[in-house]
Amino acid sequence: MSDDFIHLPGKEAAARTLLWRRGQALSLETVLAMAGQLAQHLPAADFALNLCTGRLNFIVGAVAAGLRRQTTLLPHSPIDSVVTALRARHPSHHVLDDRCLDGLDWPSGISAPISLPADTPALTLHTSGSTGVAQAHARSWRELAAIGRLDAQRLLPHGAVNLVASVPSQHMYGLQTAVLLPLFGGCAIHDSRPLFPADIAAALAGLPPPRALVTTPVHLRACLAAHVNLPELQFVLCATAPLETALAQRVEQAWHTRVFEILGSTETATIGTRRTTDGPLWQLLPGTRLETADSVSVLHASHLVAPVALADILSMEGPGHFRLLGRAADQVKIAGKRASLAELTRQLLTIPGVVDGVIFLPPGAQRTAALVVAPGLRAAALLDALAQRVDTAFVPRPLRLVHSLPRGEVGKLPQAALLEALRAANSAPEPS
Amino acid sequence: MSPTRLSGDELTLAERLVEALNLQDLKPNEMSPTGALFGSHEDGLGLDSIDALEIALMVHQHYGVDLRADDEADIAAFASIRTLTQHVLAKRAG
Repeated sequence: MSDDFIHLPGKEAAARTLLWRRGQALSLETVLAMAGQLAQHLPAADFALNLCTGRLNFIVGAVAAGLRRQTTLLPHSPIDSVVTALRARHPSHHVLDDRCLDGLDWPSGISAPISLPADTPALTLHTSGSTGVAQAHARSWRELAAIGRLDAQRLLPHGAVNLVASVPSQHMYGLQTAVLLPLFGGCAIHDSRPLFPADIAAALAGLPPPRALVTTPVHLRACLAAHVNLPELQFVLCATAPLETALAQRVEQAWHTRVFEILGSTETATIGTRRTTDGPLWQLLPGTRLETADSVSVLHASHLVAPVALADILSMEGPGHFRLLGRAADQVKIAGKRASLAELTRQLLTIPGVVDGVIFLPPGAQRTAALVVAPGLRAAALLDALAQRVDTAFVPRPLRLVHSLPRGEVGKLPQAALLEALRAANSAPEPS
Repeated sequence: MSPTRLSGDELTLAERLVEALNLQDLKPNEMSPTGALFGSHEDGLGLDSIDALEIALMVHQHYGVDLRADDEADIAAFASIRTLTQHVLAKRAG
């Protein structure tokens, strides 16, 4: 059916709960009415830069911008340098932050359904990878609605739930779960984005059942270690980094729940899902197809405007199922962000005074490590210089200054030699 | 209190920080009590939000105190070893 607009509410009841804030349930129609009000107050501009951390602020801001035909820009990081760079690239913009609803009257009465243009750029996400120059990924409302509905089909077989998400709305995973599942999948989202275990517990305790937690392996590990008491959860959803089966088992046992994972990316949204404790096979979303040739996997999907080559190598096993073989050798993924080790190393070598160096990922490590030859420079200065060139998630820990790199005959740096050099540098004083 | 020397309680917290955050370079007894924990590597320790989570966990495990990211006083405590030590010990006592 070709309609040039996406309509909200869709076929559902406008009075259903969309958001929980300070113990109060806000309906879909209330939030849409707020968006309509805010839209009238927005300055004229081509772009709206959405920095909102509160979910209500974010959703009202994004829908309001859509009503004014402004494309919403989502920075890949909230730090000043990233936001400043994005603002400079889009001179015709205004900023929406957590003050954007100040002074607005809470609407009374029922608002009319709203219509958003289906096929123009609605939200533009960004990734930085290893270069520090943000790459834009624009999504239309039609695509966003399709992503929300497909995710809901797969993740919510028993119907909508009340969600707490510990990830930012500006990142694809947070956008899918804290924004699109509520807007297009019938769910209700808690307004906060909890960080510490005590925050997560408090947010979940403030929701009626059925409840689910959307989070990452880092948060799960922290919550288990803190022995938080959580109310009953229908499920836990995990993404941004591979989840070890042992950790998933511990979570399922401790909280009497089921743990599911999404494998996805900014370019593809969801590639597949699995229940971690069931085993290594993932399930593609309906209507998607994988083709792998020469160690490159390409995803074809109805919610994507064009096929996307993946950074992960997948192999099909039976209809609709695939196994994750690994990452293309050079790739790392930390805190939900992807980078090329070769590119990170190249950035290191652009720092004045660096004679030689390499950034690599020791097996099982949470962060990259670096070996650097830079006579007269200190590690702290090098780390700060790197932090200006690459995303902070990839800044090495540790960064060791050495006399030379363990290069082999043709200049290669075998992983074993790197690990041995790192071990030696960790236990020795720095070269003077 | 000395601006440059760690008290006994501050040294204990610094040791636990170094262990929890895998900061192999640092000798706890040489760390600044008032230097910034977050931000740059030159001025402070260059920590990020993943580290914040690890710190909260360490504080829970060693001090029995639960920090909240939506509590302004808790967040302000993350400024330095001194402020964090004072805040955590006060919460544990109170």
